[in-house]
Amino acid sequence: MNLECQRLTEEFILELLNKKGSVGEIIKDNVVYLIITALVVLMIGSYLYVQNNGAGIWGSFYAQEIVSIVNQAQVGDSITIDVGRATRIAKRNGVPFESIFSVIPASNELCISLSTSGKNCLSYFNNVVPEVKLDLGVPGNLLTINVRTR
Amino acid sequence: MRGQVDSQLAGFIFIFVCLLIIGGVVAGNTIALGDDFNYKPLDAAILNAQVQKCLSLHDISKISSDFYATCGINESIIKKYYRIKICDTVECIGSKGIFSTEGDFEICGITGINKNSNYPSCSTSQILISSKKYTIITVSSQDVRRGL
Repeated sequence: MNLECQRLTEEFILELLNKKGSVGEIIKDNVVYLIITALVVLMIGSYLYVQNNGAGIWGSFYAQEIVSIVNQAQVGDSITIDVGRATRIAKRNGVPFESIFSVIPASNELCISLSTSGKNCLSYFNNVVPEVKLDLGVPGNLLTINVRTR
Repeated sequence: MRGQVDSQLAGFIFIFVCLLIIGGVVAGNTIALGDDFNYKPLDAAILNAQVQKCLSLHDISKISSDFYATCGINESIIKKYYRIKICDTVECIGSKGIFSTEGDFEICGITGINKNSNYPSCSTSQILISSKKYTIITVSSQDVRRGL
């Protein structure tokens, strides 16, 4: 029985050694599939990461909220909103506070970045220049939007 | 020949399975967390209110000749994401109007268009100025843009 077992093991090892060259060939043949699989896994992983830590949904919410305010504002207005949740999510994701809210006056665009992997942007149609200022712990974290003339 | 066909078929099946998995993950996540809020109806309504305010504050002839400067609205953003039409008649979709941007306003005649987030959203209102009724139609097609 022991001899039989030893013989079978030897045969198996020999078979593996004979197939050594074909393992490389199998990988070479399927390199395209491996690259696609890696890309799909990366895409799904980053999508779930951004969605489930709240950065996607809350980034979109704050962008809509602030653009709605800017679109209805008049020159000289100063509006303050609580952005406590946005700062918490940004801190968790390692985003510096000064780069959460950004305004690009040249293209009338406002962007919210709550994760390092992406930002949410919307354009405002009101022909004004909003200046955003983040005040931390006043109490709470507040964002002041000062509306200036273009 | 047979091997080549088999290889192509395997490729198609592989891509199909990948797309199926991506679709399943996105659908599952959307069901669990909810779809994005459809911002377009609110966006169109805010623009409509701003145009109404402008009509009530300024002369109609000035608005029709120089709408953007008179109303303080950015022309390039409107041309990119919005449509505006002002008529001095109740029926506005099919008429020429006293001011109109380029684009299709026929979609505003479709019932329930604002409930579908895949389509642009419309807002229609009427305002009485000097005993004359004006109709304002605004359309928004702006979605939140995600980028790096």
